[in-house]
Amino acid sequence: MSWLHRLWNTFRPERVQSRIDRELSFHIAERTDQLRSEGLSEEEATRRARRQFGNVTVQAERTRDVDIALWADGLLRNVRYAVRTLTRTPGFTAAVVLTLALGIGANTAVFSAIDAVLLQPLPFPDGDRLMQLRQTQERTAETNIAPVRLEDWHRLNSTFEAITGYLTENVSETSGDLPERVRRASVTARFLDVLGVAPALGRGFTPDEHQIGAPSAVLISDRYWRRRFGADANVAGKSVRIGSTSLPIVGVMPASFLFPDRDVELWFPARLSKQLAQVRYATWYTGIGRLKPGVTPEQARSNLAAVQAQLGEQYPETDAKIGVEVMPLKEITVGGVRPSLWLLFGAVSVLLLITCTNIAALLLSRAAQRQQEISVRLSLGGTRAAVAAQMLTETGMLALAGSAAGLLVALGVSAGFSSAAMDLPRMEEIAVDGRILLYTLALAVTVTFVCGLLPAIRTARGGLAGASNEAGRRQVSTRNSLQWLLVGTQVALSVTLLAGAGLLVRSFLELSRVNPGFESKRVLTFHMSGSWAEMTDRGRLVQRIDGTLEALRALPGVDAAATAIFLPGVPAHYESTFELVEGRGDKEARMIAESRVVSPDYFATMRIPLVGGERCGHQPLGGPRDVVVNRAFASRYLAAWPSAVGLHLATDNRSSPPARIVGIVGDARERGLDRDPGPIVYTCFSTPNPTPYFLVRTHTESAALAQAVRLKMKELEPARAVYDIAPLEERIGDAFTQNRLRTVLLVLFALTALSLSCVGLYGTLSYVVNLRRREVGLRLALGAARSDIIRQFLVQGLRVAGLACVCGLVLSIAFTRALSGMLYGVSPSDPLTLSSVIAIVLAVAALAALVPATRAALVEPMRTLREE
Amino acid sequence: LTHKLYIGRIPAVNLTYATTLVLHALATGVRHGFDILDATGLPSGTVYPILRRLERETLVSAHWEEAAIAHKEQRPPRRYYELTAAGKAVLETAVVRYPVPRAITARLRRLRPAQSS
Repeated sequence: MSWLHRLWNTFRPERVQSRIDRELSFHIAERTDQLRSEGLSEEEATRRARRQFGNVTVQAERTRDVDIALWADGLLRNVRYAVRTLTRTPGFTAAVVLTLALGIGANTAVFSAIDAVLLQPLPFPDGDRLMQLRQTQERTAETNIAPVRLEDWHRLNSTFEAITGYLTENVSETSGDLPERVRRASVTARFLDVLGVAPALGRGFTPDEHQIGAPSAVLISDRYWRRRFGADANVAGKSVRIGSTSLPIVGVMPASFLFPDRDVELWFPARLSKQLAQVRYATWYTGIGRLKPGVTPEQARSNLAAVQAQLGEQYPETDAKIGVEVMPLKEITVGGVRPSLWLLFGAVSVLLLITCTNIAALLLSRAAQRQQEISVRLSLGGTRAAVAAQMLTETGMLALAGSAAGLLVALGVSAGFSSAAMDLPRMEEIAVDGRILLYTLALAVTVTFVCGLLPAIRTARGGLAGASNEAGRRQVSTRNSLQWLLVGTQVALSVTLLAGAGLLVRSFLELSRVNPGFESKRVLTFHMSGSWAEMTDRGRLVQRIDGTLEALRALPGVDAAATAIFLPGVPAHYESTFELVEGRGDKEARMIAESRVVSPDYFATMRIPLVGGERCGHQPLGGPRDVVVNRAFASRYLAAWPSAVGLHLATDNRSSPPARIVGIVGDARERGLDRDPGPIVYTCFSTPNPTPYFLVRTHTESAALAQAVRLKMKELEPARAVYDIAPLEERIGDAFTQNRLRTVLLVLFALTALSLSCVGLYGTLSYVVNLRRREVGLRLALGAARSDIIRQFLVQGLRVAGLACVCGLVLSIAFTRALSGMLYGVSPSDPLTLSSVIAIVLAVAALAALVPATRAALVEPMRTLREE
Repeated sequence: LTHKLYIGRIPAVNLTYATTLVLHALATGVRHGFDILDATGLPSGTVYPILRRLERETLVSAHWEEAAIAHKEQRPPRRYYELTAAGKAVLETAVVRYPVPRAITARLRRLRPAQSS
């Protein structure tokens, strides 16, 4: 009989029992017959047969024990008993299960996000072998790669299976009544092979389709296929109209394919003329490479660096100063949210620990009340191990129920989390699956031991004293040091969480108080679809953009309009190195600064004050450019000159002549509100690319003008789509989604932690008051003042809370250090935040302690004495 | 070969003197618990758990007597036990460790005619 069979037998005890009973009854019957044949009477024979056989029940039990899995039998019995006990106290059970559901649910939800975003490989076959490749240059922040160089890397390296590249842009799709903005990726040869993904429908690109002159093709996203073609299975052969060109659809990508980003809906084969394909200074593609099996990113990096060094020798003019950057694609995708997610996980784990401690204290009080029952069990021969196992089983049942309810909480929280944080990477991959179920089960086991072990040992250790005492007179220590220790732990952990949350809130407040150096209110921002193909006729492109700006300015309610590549205050950076023409030969004359290309009216639109010189005027195409520098640039690099105005800056872009500094403007936090402005050089040019941001300053609420802008643009450019239209303030806010979400969640966790620990303090003090009711009554009868009684219990509670605050502060120092990268304008050990936290905790603790303390003082001495 | 196959399993059964006696009794043709008790002189609280354990380890096989026979003889049905090949192999090792006393062998010999009847 295998162990499985015995386990099975455990769950059908009646069957096993009846088999044993039959066999044993045969035995007794046989013996009775034998004795009767020896001349005994029927009655005597039966009696003697039974006596010879011994205690039938004991024999049957011993035999049964061989047939069943004893541990499972014990567990089953404990579970049945636990369910009976817990259903007898529904209030207690519900409170514990609910508390656990919140603790476990929050933990599971954050873990499911960590699992999907950080732990699981990217959703590509062998996704861990995918690397993002970029080129680095000492004098510019530009990292995109020239097509010809990408091909050279692919051809010459020995560590990648293949290398490909892509660039994304927004174009207007004109198949429908209104032009619609779609995001497309132009991909080079081998794109799908490198990613290891095949279209769900149709085919990928043929090598021919990457050649100019060959028939074109387009792959569409699953979403686009459903929206535009109603999931038509015969979509291959139909076409997508982009601008004035129709392109045949060759396939549909799987729904899970969201690369390079989740907004891309069309993939085109990149097609370059022979001439363009050879331009080595072009900066177009982001590279993607698939490592050969067993190759590490470091090996690939050094191999590619060697390849690039070789190219540098071959093409010293363009390649000598170029380096390579190889980063795991996953790191690039999710690296930005890693600290936040781990921080949240740390916070929910602390919260769960507080929950467990709280429940442990509850279980301890409950165990003290059950001392009588435990003593009876012990005196009837129950072992201490059995009592401890029984207590642990009860906790286990609570933990299991809490985990099941927690899973429901996690499902809700996960859904909320994904919709609140849609901008964060891989949010669509968060799911509660088998792994998460396993995790929750593991949590349940952990919680069982964390909550239950101490009370179980404590209870089993409790002697037989209770049984010998009169009912109701329990000899329980009124010092309850273990309970107080648990309360203290909760308070200390809450202080830690509150300190973290407080720092994030302060940092957020600081951020909102910061003077950005520009006015973000009443500015509407949007894009208009355009194509890089327009860059071939720059004159026409400049005319188009300037025309659009003119039309915008003419709109009623519009004060000013401008274009810019980046939005002010939204984190983005593009650093370049400049040289002062007047200081050539001087090594110090090399200046690193943020480089921004803006239309001349940008400063008026953004209300960035002019502090010297003049604003740029209209810039003719091909003529020398004017630049405006900010105050930080002038004071850091040009302080030695009587005036920065009139000096000339040369950029590393050799194609353009040196630019004259015409003005100095105030410092604006262009790169993000949380970053110092730093030196900035503004190049005045309205048309740096076909799809710059348009910024419109309005008289009234900017969102109200959105419709007017759309209509005007439709009238002006019917074939172009206006997209991404939103007030600047909203965009700046969006840039801090992660920051805000992190703060909100941490505050939520910290408040929950504080309430839990105060409930713990309240519960423990109430318990202590209850135990000492007689003593209090007696003291009152002997003339003690009620205020003394209140003070005594209040001090008892506050002493624990105070000590815990000190420990919490020490813990906070370690915890808030992890926050330092996320704080702005406030130090991790900010005394104001920490002292406010302590004040809040002590105040809430005092409130929580006051209720039981007052209850103690209201004890009726006469009643107590009568009870005595 | 059977011996070699099962020799590795011996430690799985708690090979005590009592187990050896039960195995030995079964080997000599005693077939149910009542007779095993008589043959070995072991108490019922020892024999039945041992039989269960041996059955669990497939050293003995067991089956219930047909209800019709028991009914005809007006007694509860018997449960018959029989040594399996593995059981025989284990017994070979067991008797080396715990030689079966002559008295028991003699008692078994006395019982056998009764069995055959």
